[in-house]
Amino acid sequence: MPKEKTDLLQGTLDMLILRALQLGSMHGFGISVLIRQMSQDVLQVEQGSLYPALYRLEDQGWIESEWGFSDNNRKAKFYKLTAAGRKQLLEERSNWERLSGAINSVLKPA
Amino acid sequence: MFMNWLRTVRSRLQALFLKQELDAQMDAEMRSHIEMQTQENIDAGMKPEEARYAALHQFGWIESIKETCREQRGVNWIENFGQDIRYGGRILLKNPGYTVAAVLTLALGIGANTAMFSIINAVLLRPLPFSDPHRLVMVWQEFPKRGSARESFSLPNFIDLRRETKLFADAGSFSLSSHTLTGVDEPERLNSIRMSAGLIPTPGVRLALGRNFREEEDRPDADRVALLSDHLWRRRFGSNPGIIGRTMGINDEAVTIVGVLPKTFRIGEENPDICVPLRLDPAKVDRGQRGLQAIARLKPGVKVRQVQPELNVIAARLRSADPSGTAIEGRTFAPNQYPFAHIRCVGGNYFQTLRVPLLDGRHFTEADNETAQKVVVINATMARQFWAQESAIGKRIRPDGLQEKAWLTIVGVVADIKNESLAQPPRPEIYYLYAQYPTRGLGVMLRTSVPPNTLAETVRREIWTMDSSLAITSTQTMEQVMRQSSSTTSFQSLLLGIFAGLALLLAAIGIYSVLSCAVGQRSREIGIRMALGARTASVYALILSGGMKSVLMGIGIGLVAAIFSTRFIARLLFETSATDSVRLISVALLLASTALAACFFPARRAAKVDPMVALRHE
Repeated sequence: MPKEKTDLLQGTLDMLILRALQLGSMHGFGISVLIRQMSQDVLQVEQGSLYPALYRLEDQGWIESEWGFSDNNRKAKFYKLTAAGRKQLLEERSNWERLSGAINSVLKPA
Repeated sequence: MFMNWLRTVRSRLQALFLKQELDAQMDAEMRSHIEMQTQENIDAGMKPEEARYAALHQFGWIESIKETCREQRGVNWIENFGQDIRYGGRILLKNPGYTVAAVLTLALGIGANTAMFSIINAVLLRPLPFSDPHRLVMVWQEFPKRGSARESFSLPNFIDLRRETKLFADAGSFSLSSHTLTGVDEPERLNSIRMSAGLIPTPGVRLALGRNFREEEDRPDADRVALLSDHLWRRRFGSNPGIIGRTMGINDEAVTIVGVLPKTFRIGEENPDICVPLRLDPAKVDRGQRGLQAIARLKPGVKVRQVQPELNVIAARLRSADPSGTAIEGRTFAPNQYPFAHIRCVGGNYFQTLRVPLLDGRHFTEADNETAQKVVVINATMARQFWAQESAIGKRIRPDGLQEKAWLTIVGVVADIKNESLAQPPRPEIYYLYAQYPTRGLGVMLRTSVPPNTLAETVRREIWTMDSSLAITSTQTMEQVMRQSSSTTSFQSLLLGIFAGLALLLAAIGIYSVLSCAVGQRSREIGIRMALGARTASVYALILSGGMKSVLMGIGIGLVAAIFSTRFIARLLFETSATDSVRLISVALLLASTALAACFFPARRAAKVDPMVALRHE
């Protein structure tokens, strides 16, 4: 495990989970692996944040869950985006872009 | 939006009722994640145990994660609440003594409060069955210099009042009376109200049937009309809707029924059987002949306190013309300062039957008839008040309230009789003879040689033999009369007694609980004392003295407060002084002994403390 852990804000984590699920339904373990891979190992989501986030997102109606079988024929709980979740993802992406764009402009060398 | 809400409700309900299922699923999910991580570790080259250990370690503190997830279900507070209640219940069951004390205290407190509030609500807060009741006022005459706070009006004064006030929208007057229902098999005495024409509209009462009296029916020469009460209409007239226009016999005269009152009709506390017009001739009625109660409705926007100044002005004017009171020959009073005395009509051997002592002069005799000199007998209070140094016999007075204003000669003085209630002090009273000034509505007093209640039927039959149109209202023994007169006070006393008993019980429970708790907390200290040689008796003394110190202080404060405040209930007390020291001391003793008993049990528990157990118990 790398020494530095990048802390993710709760809202940002939600967005990343939704994004991961945009690429297809998967279980919790798969989501954390995917985020790690797509961020080149920078973002390592801890289970302590992941599962509460998943439960919260499901409670909000942006994802829904269903039990199924993984590649290794293990029983696992799979999540997938709902229509509302898709919309939420778009919204959060545009917010993020606006916000990060603004921060970048401030940090740009004068 | 609605779908969202529906989904939320469904998931909350699931969380509440399918808790075990959801927990199992969460468990399974976490386990499957750990297994997948383990597999990944193995694939990366770790040995199986290491892989598993690393996976577990990476997962973190599972239970806390599960708890966080559970929190997301949004029903945590319900579950926590449920747990708290169950826990509380277990604790209560483990401490039955404490639980009983607490429940009893709550029950008594809530019960007492509810009872008191119900009574107050029924008596005071119940709304009057009138429209706009907060603009209704009752008006009284006051004669402060002559010791009378609330007197009714005379007709001339009422008419003047009604005419001269500008702040009343209208006013009506009434007097309580009784009439006999005649022309029926069993003549019956009816409670009635004689009222002015303005009395129904003023409070805004709506008749159930028919119409109100007209102004012209309020004259002495008008045709007789009456309003029936709802209960009389049902009871005697079969709720017949065609009753309007029919006649009934009242005091042997034909009276036309013009209306039926609503079921909720009340004037003050009175619920009369019938209402008839006043039919008084103002010209013939003396300003001193009181008897009318007055109700008025304030004009919109007028406040009650605005009315008093105006009334004072009218009163000042009326006062100068007021002739009421009893004139005493040979004494001069200002015309509006005649003393008040109560007058009563008696007949036959009234005083002898009641064995009232004769203090001066003579009793009434057969010779005092309608042609003889008009005579009266007065009571001791009146004699003392006006003829302290001399005999009142032979003096002449001219009292209020007879059919004529005439000078009457005093022939006898009798001892004071308590006519109204046991607690009230005697007032000056004048007794006149039925034979000389006949009146209605008499009672007959009998002194019997056999138990009085066995004669009730016989007496009734005898009276009806003499006159079958008489209505006999009630036959009571004197004991029943006395009990009735004190029934209100004894009811109040009973109530007070119950509440006082409750307070005592609550105090005892409270003392017991507090002391029990203290003993429990001090058990280690007590153990040490006993280990150091304290004997049972001194442990008792320790606990008892601690408890009783506060109790004695409380009793002291209570005694002072009681002495100060019992003057307020002095009017309820008969033959008991408000600062009766025997009573105070016995109450204090009762409180102290109850408290002592309450302290006893915790003290005994303290004395039973086993020092070894207490010292070990940290």
